[in-house]
Amino acid sequence: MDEIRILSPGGSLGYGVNAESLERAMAMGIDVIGADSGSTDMGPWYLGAGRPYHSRATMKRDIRLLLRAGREHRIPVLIGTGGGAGANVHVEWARTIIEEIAREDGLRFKLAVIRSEQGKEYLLERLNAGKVEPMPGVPPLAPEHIEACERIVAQMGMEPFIRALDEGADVVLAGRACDSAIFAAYAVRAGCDPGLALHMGKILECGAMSAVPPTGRDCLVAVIKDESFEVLAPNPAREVTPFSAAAHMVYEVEHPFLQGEPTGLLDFSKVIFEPTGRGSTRIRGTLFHEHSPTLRFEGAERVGFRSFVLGGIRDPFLIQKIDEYTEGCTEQTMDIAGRDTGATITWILYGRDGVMGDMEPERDGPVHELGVLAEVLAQSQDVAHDVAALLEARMIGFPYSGAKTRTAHVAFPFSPLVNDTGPVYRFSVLHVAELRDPADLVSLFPIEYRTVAA
Amino acid sequence: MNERAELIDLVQFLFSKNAGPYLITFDAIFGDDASYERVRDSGVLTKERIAGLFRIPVERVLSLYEYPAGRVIKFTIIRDISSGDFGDRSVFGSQLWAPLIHLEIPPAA
Repeated sequence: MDEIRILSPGGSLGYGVNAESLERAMAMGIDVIGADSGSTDMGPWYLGAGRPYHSRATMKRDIRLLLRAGREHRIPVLIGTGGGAGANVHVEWARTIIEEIAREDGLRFKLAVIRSEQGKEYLLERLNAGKVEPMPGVPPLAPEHIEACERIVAQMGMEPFIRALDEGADVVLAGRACDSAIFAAYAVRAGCDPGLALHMGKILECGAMSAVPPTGRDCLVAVIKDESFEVLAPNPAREVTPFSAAAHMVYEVEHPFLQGEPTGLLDFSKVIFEPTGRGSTRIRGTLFHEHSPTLRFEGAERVGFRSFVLGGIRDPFLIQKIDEYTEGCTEQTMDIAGRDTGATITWILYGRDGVMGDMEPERDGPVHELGVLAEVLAQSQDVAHDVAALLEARMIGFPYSGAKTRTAHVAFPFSPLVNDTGPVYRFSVLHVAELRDPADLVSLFPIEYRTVAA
Repeated sequence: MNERAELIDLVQFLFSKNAGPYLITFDAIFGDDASYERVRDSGVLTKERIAGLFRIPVERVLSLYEYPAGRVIKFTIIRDISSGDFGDRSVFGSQLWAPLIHLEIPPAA
């Protein structure tokens, strides 16, 4: 088997690809470009609301860099988790950007669009069959959560990418995808060991996070051949050491050496990291314990609508009485709004325990200024807004004990004082389902091909 | 190595990050073997100690691992509110590692 060179432009497409590193990498000879473009990291709102995560202008810049490089060198470009969350609306968003670039730049290529949004029936049937397990820390799934989800996606593995490459796609735009699959698919199709290739994908998925100095905003290259792969940073300001590569493998995961993939469990416990002496690291020894195919499903359920009021407190007498004040404001507001509104008010007090909440060990330390974020959740935006407006009126004048001010208790930075942020979502579905049929690894992800031309 | 030290004196990186929407994982990454082994062998980081530092029930400390190949000690806690849900304070699970800074590490044996 010939060696295969795979390029990752960074941790997430749309954050701003380092064009100079990309050019350096392309000059080394690259066989395939993979790019991760989404995650669940930024929370459930993007999946629930059907909105893209990244800036459109930056996404267009980044995709343009990749498409030009790919077309110039006649190599495939694979993009996973298009639009940030990978539902149909996100994939469409990314597709229009790709087609716009093709028109503007006079590019011509075969585009494969792989969808990952799922109907509810499949997951419901798997749940009823007892074939659904929660991810660690996630509550068990009930049918009503599936029903309540705004959108559900399944996270595809390598198989749909391989199918698209089989069909001659030059550019693959996929919905929700395993990061590792984006980078492993081309190599596995060429005959590489799946475990080794998926491990390589795990290293590549965050770009130069595996290098020193680490950053997700720079390129990384892997060269895979036979029993091992080499990881290198095209940017001469970085190198990949055995420790930097190994340390990255624990990043954003619960287990340091066991990680689930759709068709098996990656096991890094016997992996060997060797320095090459030229600023890169060679990796071998990955184990892959195959199991019957599974897919991870992700679904966002709307829990209500939010409005908030933001202010600052510098009055030392109010800071002393802050609990009396927040409780009093909440109570008066709910007395007037009526408990039957179903609204919930929460307070975040920056400067005291705003970041850590109940986990804060230094909650009782000295404070000279507090940032106050009062949030209201209700079942409609109108109700949330009304309750937040009432709350703001209490915040400005609540007569806490020992007050030296008659009113004007809070410094509000904004007019409008009440800000409506729209729906709030929860990842109610974050569960792994055993598949009915191994063929579902492909069939749940319909692929559409089109020739894109100027 | 014979003097008392705080965890912050021995690590190269120390941070918290989400591991999916329901977990927050804490990584202490060491720049040299001696520091890694000193903290590991001290036995200071236990699930019980972590629960105490973060004022959470020990059941919420899901796991604690050592990973010599990366000179990493990591532990993971279960969130009380999942990422981005109403009441969440840190979507990325960021900025929650401060209670570890002054953790006292005894001299190496």
